[in-house]
Amino acid sequence: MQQLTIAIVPTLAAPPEGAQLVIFCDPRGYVAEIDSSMMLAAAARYAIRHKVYLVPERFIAANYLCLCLLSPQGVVIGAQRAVHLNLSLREHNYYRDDAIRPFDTPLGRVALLVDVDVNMPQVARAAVEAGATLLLSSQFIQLYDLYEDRVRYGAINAAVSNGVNVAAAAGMGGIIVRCDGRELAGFSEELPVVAALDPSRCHADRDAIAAGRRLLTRHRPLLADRPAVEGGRLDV
Amino acid sequence: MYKFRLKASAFAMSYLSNEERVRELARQIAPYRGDKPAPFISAGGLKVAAARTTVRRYRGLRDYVEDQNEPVARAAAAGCQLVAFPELGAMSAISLLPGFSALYADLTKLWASGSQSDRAEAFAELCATVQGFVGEVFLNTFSQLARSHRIIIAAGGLYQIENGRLTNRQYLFSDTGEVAAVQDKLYPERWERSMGVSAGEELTPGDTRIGRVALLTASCLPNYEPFFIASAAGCSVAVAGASPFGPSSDLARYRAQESGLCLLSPGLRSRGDFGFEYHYPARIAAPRAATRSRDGSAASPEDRPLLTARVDLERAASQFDLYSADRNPAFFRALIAGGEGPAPKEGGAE
Repeated sequence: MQQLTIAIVPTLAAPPEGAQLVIFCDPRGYVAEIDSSMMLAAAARYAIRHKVYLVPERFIAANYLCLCLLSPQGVVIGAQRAVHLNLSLREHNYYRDDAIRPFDTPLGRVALLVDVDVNMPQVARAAVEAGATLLLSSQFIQLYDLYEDRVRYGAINAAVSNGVNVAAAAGMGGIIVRCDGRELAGFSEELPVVAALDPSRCHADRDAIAAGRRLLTRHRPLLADRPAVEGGRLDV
Repeated sequence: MYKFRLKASAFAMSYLSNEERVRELARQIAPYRGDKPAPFISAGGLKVAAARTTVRRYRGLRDYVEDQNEPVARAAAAGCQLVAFPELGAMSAISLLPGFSALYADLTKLWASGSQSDRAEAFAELCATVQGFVGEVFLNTFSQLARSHRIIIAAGGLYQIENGRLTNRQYLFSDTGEVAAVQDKLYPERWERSMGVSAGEELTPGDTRIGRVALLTASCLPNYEPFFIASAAGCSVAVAGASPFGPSSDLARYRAQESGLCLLSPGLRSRGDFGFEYHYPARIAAPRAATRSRDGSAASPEDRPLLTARVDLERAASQFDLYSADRNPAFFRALIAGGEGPAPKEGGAE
């Protein structure tokens, strides 16, 4: 696979020349269900007009927080529901998915990390275990919660821990990290954030991933006997 | 010649070292502190230390014990409840073998000329031969130092062969000098695997008066699993420090944040006494809310022989981050039940 140019731009802003994959960066928490179809229609028109793959804003569908990937033809080629939620969204009783489902695209095998899923190491690891080589994330961060380290924590941790490419929009900024852990662009709020990488490359340490799986299995009684906790913390 | 020299050196060493001699030396160098142990009120007042040790050759038993005592004494004087040493710290006691220089030269030659299987065989033989006396010197030294200074020590460890399995084993000593935990390295390095070192099968944390402590390694840092398991097992502190194979990384901050553990990463330095030179600083990480700087660095990586830090794990436990605190037990149960992980679904559009 040749180099893929990824751009993180403000919602509906024209992509920089040469961009092949665009992620929208938006100041809203999500697009409400009532507006979702309109937003997706606008996003499809954008993808067709600029001939780009597009990850538009997070939206609510059937009470799930969702993210999708559109092809340059404006067709949804993959979607993912949030596996974890920002606690402020838990108050609204939104549902959570119980699996991360990477999907094949002409860009390689892609997983979408919806909102705070980028901060959850088990989600990124499960995506890589299922073959993902490119993780695309879009996260809402309140202005007063936005600090660089939080974004680095999510995107760089996912990339370095799993040897996978990550492009993440967070708050009104973005970061693109290559599978070897190199920060190609960002974190910056100076949009667009643009970088090129080979999305099929992956440095995942399969031995370590298998060892982690064995460890989890061996400690299953410890983890499974405590249904209210995950990783020792209370299920708030 | 190498094999003969190795056996002869080990035999001679059995006359030079014994448990009581090592303990007596340690008692002389670090007399028992009859006063109260370092103050520890709660997880809000935890004070810990990470040592940056130097890999070097020792002139004798006294030299070895004095060198190990220095960071322990400094940590105890600073009021720390726990001090951590890097993994494999005991292996440099091998230089106490009589005729070590000639033995080392033989081994180096063998290493340069032999095949991979020859190297693995020589390595296993070396470990099998020296583990008795290295273990004796190491275990008795640290047991006595922990008791003398009334401090918990994550002392690192050595290669050991038990029931035909070669493992990289770490030890935790309680402040009364007892072995509180033994942990086989969960993620051996590639070189170790090529030498036949087996991975530990499960996490075996130790109970101490400051809570449960897990002995991990820098090779665990890219993997969230051991830290989650340590946290689920009720640990408050974990050790994941540098080794001769590489330094710890900034991932320590991330692992501390997501698992809620105070993470000690001891450092390591070598000036080439064993053919390698490296410089890996120590660091201490903790959940952001538990650190003064609020960035997860309780003590930033620094090239000092001893890093100390006070962390407030009570405060960390009482706060949560809107962006990373959500737990989805259904996802996690599916993950550990699946064996192969969640089933991928082609063309995930629904």
